[in-house]
Amino acid sequence: MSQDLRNAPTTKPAIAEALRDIAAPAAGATAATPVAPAPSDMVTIKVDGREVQVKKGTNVLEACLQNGVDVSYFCYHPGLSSPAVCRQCLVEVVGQPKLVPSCYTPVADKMEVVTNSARVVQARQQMLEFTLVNHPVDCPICDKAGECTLQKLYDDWDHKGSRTEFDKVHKPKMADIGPHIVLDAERCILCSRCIRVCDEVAGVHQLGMAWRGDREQLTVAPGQRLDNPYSLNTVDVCPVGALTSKDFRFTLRAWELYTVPSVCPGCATGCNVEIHHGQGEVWRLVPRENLSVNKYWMCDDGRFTYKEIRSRRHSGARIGSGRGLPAQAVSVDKATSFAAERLSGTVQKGGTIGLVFNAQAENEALFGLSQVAAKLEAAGATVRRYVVGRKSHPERADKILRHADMNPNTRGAQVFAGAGAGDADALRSDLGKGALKALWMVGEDLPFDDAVLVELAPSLDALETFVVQAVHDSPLVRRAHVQLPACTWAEVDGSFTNAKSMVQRIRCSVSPAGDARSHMELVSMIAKKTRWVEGEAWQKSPRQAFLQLTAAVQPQDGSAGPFASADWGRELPPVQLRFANSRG
Amino acid sequence: MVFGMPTPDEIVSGAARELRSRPQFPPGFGEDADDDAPLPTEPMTINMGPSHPAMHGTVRIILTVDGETVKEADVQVGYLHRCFEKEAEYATYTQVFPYTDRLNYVSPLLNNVGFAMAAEKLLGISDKIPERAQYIRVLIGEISRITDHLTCVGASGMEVGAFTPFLWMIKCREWLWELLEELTGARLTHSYVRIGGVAADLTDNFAQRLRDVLAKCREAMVDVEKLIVKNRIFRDRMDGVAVISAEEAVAYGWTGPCLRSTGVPYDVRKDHPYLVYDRFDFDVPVGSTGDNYDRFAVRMEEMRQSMRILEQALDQIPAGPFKLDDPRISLPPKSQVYNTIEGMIGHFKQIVDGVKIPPGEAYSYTEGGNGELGFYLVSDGTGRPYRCHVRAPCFILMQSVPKLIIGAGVADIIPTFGMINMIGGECDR
Amino acid sequence: MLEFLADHSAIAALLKVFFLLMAFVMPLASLSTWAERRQSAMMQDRLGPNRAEITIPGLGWTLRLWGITHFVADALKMAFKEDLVPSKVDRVLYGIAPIMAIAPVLITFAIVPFGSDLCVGKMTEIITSLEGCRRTIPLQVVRLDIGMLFYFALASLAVYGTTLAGWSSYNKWSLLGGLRASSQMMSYEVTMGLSLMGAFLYYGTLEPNAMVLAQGDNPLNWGLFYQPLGFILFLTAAIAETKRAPFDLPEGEPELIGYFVEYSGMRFGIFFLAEFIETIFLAAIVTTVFLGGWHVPGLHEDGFSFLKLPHIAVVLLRSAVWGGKILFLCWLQLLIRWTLPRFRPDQLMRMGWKQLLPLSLLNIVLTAAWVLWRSAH
Repeated sequence: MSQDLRNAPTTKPAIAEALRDIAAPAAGATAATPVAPAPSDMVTIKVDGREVQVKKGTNVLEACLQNGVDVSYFCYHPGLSSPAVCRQCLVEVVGQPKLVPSCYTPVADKMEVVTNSARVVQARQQMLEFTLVNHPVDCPICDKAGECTLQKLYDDWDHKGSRTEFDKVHKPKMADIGPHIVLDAERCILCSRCIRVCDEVAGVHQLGMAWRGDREQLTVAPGQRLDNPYSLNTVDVCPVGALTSKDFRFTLRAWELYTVPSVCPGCATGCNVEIHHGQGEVWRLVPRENLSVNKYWMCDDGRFTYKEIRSRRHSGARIGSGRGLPAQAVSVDKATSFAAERLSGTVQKGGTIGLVFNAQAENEALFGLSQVAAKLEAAGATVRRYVVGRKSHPERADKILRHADMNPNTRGAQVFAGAGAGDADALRSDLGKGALKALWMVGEDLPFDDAVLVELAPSLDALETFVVQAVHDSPLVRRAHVQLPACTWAEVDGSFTNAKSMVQRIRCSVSPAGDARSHMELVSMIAKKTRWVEGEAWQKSPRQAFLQLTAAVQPQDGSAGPFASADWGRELPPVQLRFANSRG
Repeated sequence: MVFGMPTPDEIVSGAARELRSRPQFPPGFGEDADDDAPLPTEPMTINMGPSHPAMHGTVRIILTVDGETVKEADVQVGYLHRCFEKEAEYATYTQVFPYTDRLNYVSPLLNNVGFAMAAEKLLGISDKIPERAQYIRVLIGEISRITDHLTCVGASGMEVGAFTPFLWMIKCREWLWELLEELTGARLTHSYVRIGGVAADLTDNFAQRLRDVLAKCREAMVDVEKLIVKNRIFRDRMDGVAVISAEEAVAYGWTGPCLRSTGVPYDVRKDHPYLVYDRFDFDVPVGSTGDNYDRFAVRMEEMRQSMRILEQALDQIPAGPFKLDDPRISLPPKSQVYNTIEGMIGHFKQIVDGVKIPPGEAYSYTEGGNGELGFYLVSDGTGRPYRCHVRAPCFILMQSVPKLIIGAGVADIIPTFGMINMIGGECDR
Repeated sequence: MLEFLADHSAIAALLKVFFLLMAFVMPLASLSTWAERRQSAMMQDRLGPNRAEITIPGLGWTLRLWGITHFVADALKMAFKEDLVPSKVDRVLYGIAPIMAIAPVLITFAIVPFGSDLCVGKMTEIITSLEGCRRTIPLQVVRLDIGMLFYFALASLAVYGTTLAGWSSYNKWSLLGGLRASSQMMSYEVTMGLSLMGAFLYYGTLEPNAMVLAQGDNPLNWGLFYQPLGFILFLTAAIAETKRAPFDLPEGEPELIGYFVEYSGMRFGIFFLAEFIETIFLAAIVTTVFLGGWHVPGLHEDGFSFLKLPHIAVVLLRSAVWGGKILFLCWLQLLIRWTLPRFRPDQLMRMGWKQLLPLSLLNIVLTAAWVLWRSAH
C-alpha cells in the first residue's frame, strides 16, 4: 500500500491540466515555433525499466519528470542552474557504484536509471531526515505552510518519526534583509535557489552562504540589502518558509486562497501571473510559467499592481454638470442613458467626437469602441481617435522583464484605434484648440503630469459632453459630465496584447467593486442606448467580443495577423490553491 | 413519477396490478350512494408536504383523492438535498465523516462505518484494521441500528395515534445515545469512525453500562409490545396495509428490514459478512406478507438480534489498538505533533491535504438501518474523493411509495410512509 | 336570602349558571389541559409541565403547585397570540365556528343536576325527606321534562361548529377534517341516543334529576349495574362525540392536522377548550345516568345511618361527591386517550354502524323485555 501511495500523483490531473491550458503561450508573431528535434538529438534511456527518448543534454531529473516519474528535489529549478546541493534527487544509475544527483547528471544513451529502488527511497528518506533535524516546528506560524515543498516531500516519501535527541541549532529569525523580504534562517534548508535567482535572473549577487556545517546560513553581506527589482522571486522559489514576502506574510493561509491564471497589468511585457484571491479580495500575484514571455519570473513592481484593485476606486456612477462640481450619484443604467443622450445630441449637431482608446483597457472594450467609431464615421460624423495610457518610465526598462511602457495593452489599443489615431499629445493639442465637442474616454489614465492636467482643465470644461469610464477616482474624472465606474483587469474576462503582440487572456477573479462594470459592458450599453450599434455579437459577452475581434483584425491577404493564434481558452472554475498543487 | 424511472405500472406484475386496481379500502367505502342518480363528484388534488407533520425530513406527495381514497400519488423527494456528494468532493476523506453523520441521522454511526469501509477498501487496508477497532465498529453500528429501529417503530406507533409507546422507545434511544455521547462526545453527530479504525477507545466500564442499558431496553420493548402489538386498533391499522410481494420488492431494489418483511432473508451482515459479523450467532428475521405490520415486527425482532450481537461482541472483544498504526492514515500522537517537525508535518498534511488514497474506485456496502447502504468512491490519488456516491436505501424504497399508497386511504399513507422509514437526510443527501 | 332566591327563580338560575360554569366547568376544563399534559407525562415516563409558578408580589412567595398554574400561562399565551385570519377564508363562518363549537356544550349543562334540592328554611336541621319543605331550590339550572332529548338536540348542533370550521378555512386538509368530523359525529349520535334508550326505559323518565332520584343512594341500584351494555356503548359513542383519541380522526394530527388547522390564538383556544368541556359534560351525563348522579353511597336525606347530618352538610357532601365522580371520569378519559391508537375512518364507520348500533338496539330490546317482565310481576 505504501508503494501505491508513493507512486500516486499528488496533483488532481484535471486542475493541473486546466492551469497548463493557460500556461501554454498564446503564440504571437514573435513566438518561437518549436522545431522538432532531429532523431540524432535524441537519446534512449531506461527509467525504472521503461524505455524513453529524451533530448540530448537534458539531465536525468528532467528526463524523469518529463516522463511522469516522480523524483523529489529541492535545489533544482527549471529556470536555474543545477548545483546539486540538496542531494534530494539522488537516483541509481545502473553501473555506477554510488547514487548520483539526477539534476546534475546529463543523460547518456542506453543509460539505465532506477528511481524507486529501496536504496534510492532510503536515500531520500535519509536526506529528508537530515533536512528536518534542524528544521523548527514552525508550520502553524509559517506562511509557506500548505504550499511548502519540504512538507510535501516528507508527506510523499518519508513519514518517519524523529530520532533526534538534541536541541535544534538556532539561527536568526525575522531578519530584515530587504525592502520586501524577511528571512527566517532557521527554516532555510540551504538549497541556494534564492542565491541563483539573484545571480542568474536579476544579475546581481546579493545573497550568499556564510559559515559551515550545521551553522551554515543564508545571508546578505553586512550593510547590503536584497533590493534588486526581482527580489520577490526568491520567495517564490524558496521551497520552505525561509524567505517570506513582507507584503503577504500573515495575511491569509495558503489553503484559503483561490488561484486564477491571468496577466500582469504593470507594463507592456505582460508577464503571466496567477492571481491569488480569497475572501473576495486579491492578496498576491505570483508568476506563472510562460517560456515565451516571462519564463518563471516577474518583477516586484508587477506584484504590487494588485493593490490598485482596492485603492481609490471609483465605484459608483455619477452624472453632473462637469467642471469638477459636485455630481449626483445615480445607477449605471441611468448614467449610461444620460451619456447616450448627451453623446448622440452632440453628434447630431455635427460636433466632433473624440474617442479615447486607453491602453489600460482590455481588447474587447477597445474593439467595441472601434466598432462604434466605424459606425459613426460611416454615418458621416466627425470622429477623432486617440491612443493614450499611463506615462512611460524609460528608466525602469531593462533587458530582463521590465518594460518602459507602463500599459499592458498598448499594442491592442493601437490596433483597434487604427492607423489614423492620434496620441496623447494630439489629444492635448486638440483639446487646447477646442477642436472637440464631445470626449468619450474608455479609461481615465492620461500620461500627463498634474501641471498639464491643470492647464487642460478649462478645455475639458469647455466640452459639450465629457464621458469617462474610470477605474479610479481622480480630479480628471470629476470634471466629466458622466462618470462611469469601470472594472479593473482582475474583475473582468478579456485579453491584453503585450509588446510582442501576443494576445493573452486575463480572467475575472474577484467581483467588481461597487457598481463597477467592465469597460466593454459600458461601451456596449452606451452604444445600445445611442442606437449606434445594436445587437452585435461583441455586445453579448467578452467571449463573443473576443471571437469577433480576432476575426475582424485578420489581414485580408490571409497572412498571419497579430491575433492569428489567439485563443480564448476554457472556462475555469475557481481553484483552491490548497488543491492546485504544492507550490515551490 | 419524479425520478425519471419506469412508473410502477410498468414494473409490477399482473397480480400486483390487479391488487392495485382493487381498492385496499374496504369495498364500498366512500363510493356508495343510495340515490339512483349519483351525485357529481370530482377528485381533489391535495398537497401533502413538503411541510407536513408526517413527512419526516421534507418530502412532498401530491395526492389525488376521491373522498379519502388515494387515486394518484406523485412523490417528490429532494427537498432536503444538501449536495452531500458534491461537498464530499471538496472535503478530505476525514472531513466527509461529519457529512455522513447527516445522512441517516438516526443511525449516524452506521454511515460512518460504511464510509470508512469504502475508503479502506480503496486503500487496500480492509484486512489490516485492528480487530478491536472492528469490534468497536460492530458495537457502535449495532447500537445505531437499535436506535434507528427504535425511532422508526416508535414513530409508527405515534403516527397511528399511540403517542405513549413512542416516548418509551425514545427513552430507550436516549439511554443508548447517552452511552454513545460518552463514547464519541456527541449525541447525534458522532463522527467517531476514522479511516483505519475509530477516533478513540471504548470508555471505561462501557461493557457494563451497555449491558445495563440493553436490559432496560428489553423491558421497554416488552412494555411496548404489550401496549400495541395486541391492540386491536393498532393491528387493524397495520395488518394487510400496503402489501408488497417479494418479487416486486426485489424488482424495486428493496433491501433491509422492508425487503425482509416480504420474506426475503437478505441481510448484508449474513450474506456478505464484513467486519467480524461472521463470528456472531444471530438470526435474520423475515416477515411473511410484506405489509406494514411485518415491517414493524421485523424491526422489533431485529433489535433483539442486534442486542444478541452486542452481547456476543462484548464477550469477544479483544484488547489491542483501536486504529491502524500507519502515519499516513492515522494522525500522529499530539506529543509528537507539538514537539517534532516530523509529527507536525504529518499532522498538518493529513489535516490540510487529507489521507491520500491511490487512484481507483471501490463500492463498499454495509447493512444500514434501512437496508444496503453503499458508498461508491472514486479516487484520483489526492486526499479527497474524486466522486462519492451513496446508495441510500430509503431513496430506493421511496420509489415504490406510490405503488403502496395508491388505493389506500389518506390515513394509511402515514403508517406506510413511516414503515418505509424515509429519512430525508439519507434519501435526498 | 335563600327565600328570595326561591321566590325569584330567574335570579337563582343565573346564580346557578354562574356557579356551574364559572366556578366549576371552566376551571375544570382549563385544569384538564394541564392534567392531560401531566397525566400523559406520567404515562410516558417524563416530567411534563411542572415549571409554571406564581410569585406573589411584595411577599416574595412563590407558588409552584406542581405546575398547575400552567393553564393560566396557556390561556394567556392563547389570548395574546396574534389573531391570524387567512386571507381567503369565509370570514363570517370562520368567526362563528368556534362559538358554534363551544356554545352547545355550555348550554346543555343546564340540565345537569349537580346536587340535591335545597330545602329553604331548614338548612341547619336534620330532615328525613324533602316532602315537608315548603319551598325548595333545585341544584339544576332548568328542570325540563324532555331532559335528555334537549341534550341530544343541542349536541347535534355541535357538529356545525367543526364542520363549518373545516369548510370555511379554505384549506383542503381542514375540509377533510371537517367532513370526517361531520360523518363521525352524526354516525355516533345515533348510537349515543339509542344506547341511552335502555336507561330511559329503565328509569321511566327523561328528566336527569328524576333519573338520579330513581337510582338512590344504594350503589347497587345505579344504572351502571342495570345497564352495563348501555354504559359501555354510551361511553364509547360519547367519547367519539368529543373527538378525542382513539376517535380523534377529525384532528388526526399526523395526517390532517385537523379541522382547526387554520385557527390560531384564542379562536383555536376555544376549540381546544370546547373539547375539554365536552369531556366534562360527558362525565356529567355518565355520572347522572349511570353513576347515581349526586348520590353518595349510604347517604340518606338525614345523613348516614351511623351519623346524622344537617341538611346543608348533606347537600354540600352530595355536590362534592358529584364533582369527584366527574373528576374520576375525566381522568378515565385521559387514560384512554393516551393509551389507544387512532382508528381509520372506514374502521370507525364500520364500528359505529355495524357493531355499536346493533348492540344498542339489542340493549333496547333486552331492557324493554326486562321492564315488561318486571312490570308484569
